[in-house]
Amino acid sequence: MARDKEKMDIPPGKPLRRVMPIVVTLGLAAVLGPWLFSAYWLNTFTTVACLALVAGTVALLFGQLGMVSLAQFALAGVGGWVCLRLIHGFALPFEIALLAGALVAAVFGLLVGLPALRMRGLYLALLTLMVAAAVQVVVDVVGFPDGGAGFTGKIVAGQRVLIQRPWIASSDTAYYRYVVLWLAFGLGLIEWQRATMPGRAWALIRKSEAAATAAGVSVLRYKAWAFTFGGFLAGLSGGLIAGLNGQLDNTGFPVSQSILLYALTVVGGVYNWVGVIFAGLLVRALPALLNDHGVDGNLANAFYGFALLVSLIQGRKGLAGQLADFYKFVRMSRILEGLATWGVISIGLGLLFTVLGQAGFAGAFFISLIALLFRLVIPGVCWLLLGFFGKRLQDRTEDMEAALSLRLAQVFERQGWVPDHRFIKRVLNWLFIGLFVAWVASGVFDVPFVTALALIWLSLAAKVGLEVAAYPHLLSLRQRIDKRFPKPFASYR
Amino acid sequence: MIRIENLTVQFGGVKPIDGLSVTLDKAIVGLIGPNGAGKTTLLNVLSGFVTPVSGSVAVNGVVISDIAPHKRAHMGLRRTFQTDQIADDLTLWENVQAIADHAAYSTQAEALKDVQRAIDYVGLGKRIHRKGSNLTTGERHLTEIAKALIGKPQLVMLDEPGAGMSESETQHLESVIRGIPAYCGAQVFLIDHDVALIVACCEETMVLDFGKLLALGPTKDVLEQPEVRRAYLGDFEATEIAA
Repeated sequence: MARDKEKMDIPPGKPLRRVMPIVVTLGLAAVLGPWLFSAYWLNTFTTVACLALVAGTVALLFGQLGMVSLAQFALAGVGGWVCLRLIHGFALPFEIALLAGALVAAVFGLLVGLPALRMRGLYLALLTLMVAAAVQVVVDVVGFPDGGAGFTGKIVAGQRVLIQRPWIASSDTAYYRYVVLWLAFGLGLIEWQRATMPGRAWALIRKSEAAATAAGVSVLRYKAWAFTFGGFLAGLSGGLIAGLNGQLDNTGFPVSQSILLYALTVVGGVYNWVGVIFAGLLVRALPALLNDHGVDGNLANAFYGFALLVSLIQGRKGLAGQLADFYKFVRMSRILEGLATWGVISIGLGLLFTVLGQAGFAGAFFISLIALLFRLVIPGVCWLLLGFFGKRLQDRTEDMEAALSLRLAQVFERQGWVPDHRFIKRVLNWLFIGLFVAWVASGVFDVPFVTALALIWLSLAAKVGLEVAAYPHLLSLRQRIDKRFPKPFASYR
Repeated sequence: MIRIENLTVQFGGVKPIDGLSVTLDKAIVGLIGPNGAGKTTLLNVLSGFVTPVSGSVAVNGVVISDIAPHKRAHMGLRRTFQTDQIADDLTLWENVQAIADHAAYSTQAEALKDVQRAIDYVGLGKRIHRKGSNLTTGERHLTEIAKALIGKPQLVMLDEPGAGMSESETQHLESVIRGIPAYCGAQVFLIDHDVALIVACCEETMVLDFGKLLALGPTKDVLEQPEVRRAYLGDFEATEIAA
């Protein structure tokens, strides 16, 4: 059935090509982060990175093999404890203790996995839940050594001794970068595995174990490998958490967190690495954001329950999968164009507000950038939220919006103005982005609300102005670019 | 060559295969029979998913009864399934490469060359970067065959490869199946309900009914035997046709 024209869904899969987006994105986050965020947020994002790595292992087991493991956070605890005690006991360098902790967690992961190899679904979930609970009970009963000197040192009353962070990353800023780079390493390694032999074997297994066996795949070995590898990365993350706080105590890795992390990984999306980072953000950054604005962070839990339900109904794609669906038609030319205009506007406004003495350059630059980003993202998010209530509501809302726009365009025409059918969408979008982003930005960047609002609306206005002015000159360039590079998000799965 | 001796399979009170003894040595052998005749069960015995209560099976002189299913695949026993097993989120190429990962090659380059060769052989060379979810039914069945041709197979067992294919696709499928012995030297064991496909491909055909051998011989002769017609078409139609 050869066709004349080759249609490509996924570019030829060189593993390195699939790992690059992760490394580049997280590399940028590592470089830019400290410049962007206050100390409070930097610490929050360091934790987010650790949790995202654990979420990555949950997604690996669930997304690749359909195995529910609720023990991953407990494995992080195992890795963290081993790392902590090795540093206290033998004054090992941080990295060596970290890797040793990860290896021990990998062995534990395999031990959890072995009986699990013959189980699936609910039974596997229950088994791993019991393991997670057992780790907590053991930690409580034994009175695990926490901060004392020596390998078994325990401080009953008094100050705990904190472990030293690695010498290249002793400050909060440097440690943030250090953890994000480990995250890039971990997620990159997972993606590499997915793009090579183990990933293909996992794909056969999740399709059907019988077919995988008939193809010569040893199902047990590849399942065991997934558990071991997942345990290793979870343990690594545990060690990084120990390094962040300098200590661990017996309340650090509770069962409830394991379950929450699993649920939010499903909400974030288990089929690609973006979902895993969403999961990390949901677990830690969203409650922190609410707390920062004087709202009880626990409120987020109510939302999570709802989000999980919706996610399961929507077919396990999660936020990341839905966003990929929404943006899969985006063309390369628009991305490049967007980057150029965003850069010009943000830098321009940044300079302007610094000269006027209204805000620092970095703050103004990023508020403007975030406003432009939101202009792009908000329609997608609204679509997603509407999707929670079903396809019908999505369609009806679309119809309603179209009808309203048309009515308004007619009014415009009667008045003798230029009719614009996108008027309502634009106004709503601008109002929402202005008020919401200004609210967030005034918290994060310490800029007065009105200044932030002015910055945001100026950015959006400048974007429209630039687009209108440059449009006729760009058409041929757009076509050339799109011919060269097909839609970049079309292959995300 | 497949040698089956006194094979019996039992599920509770049902015997899907009952005391079957047969030797199949032609390059392409067909297997037909009405629903429930034991066709797929026989394939499952050959690939190791079903353990018989008695009897033995040997392929090219090697008794395979005690070999684990995935090791049989390593030996070169390949099969396809009635429902195709294409992973939706892998590309056609990756789907085939997944099989090559577990076959014996001396170098990686050799494996990749064999993957390309198998895909080209079934005629999907221009579709290698399509995702599994975007392949048509015909393309999925052909991909399954390409998967079965990886790594010097000795025996390729096809379970209803023509299901759901259009007429032109079936013609292409015929030429693909007929070419397999020349392509890699493997014996082909073909199950299908489409008698036209069996006639076009198989030198020899075996008919099962209620787990027992009904007929075995050159395809044309077998299909003309009255008891075969009766088993397949029922008494009434068989007498109609005879009259």
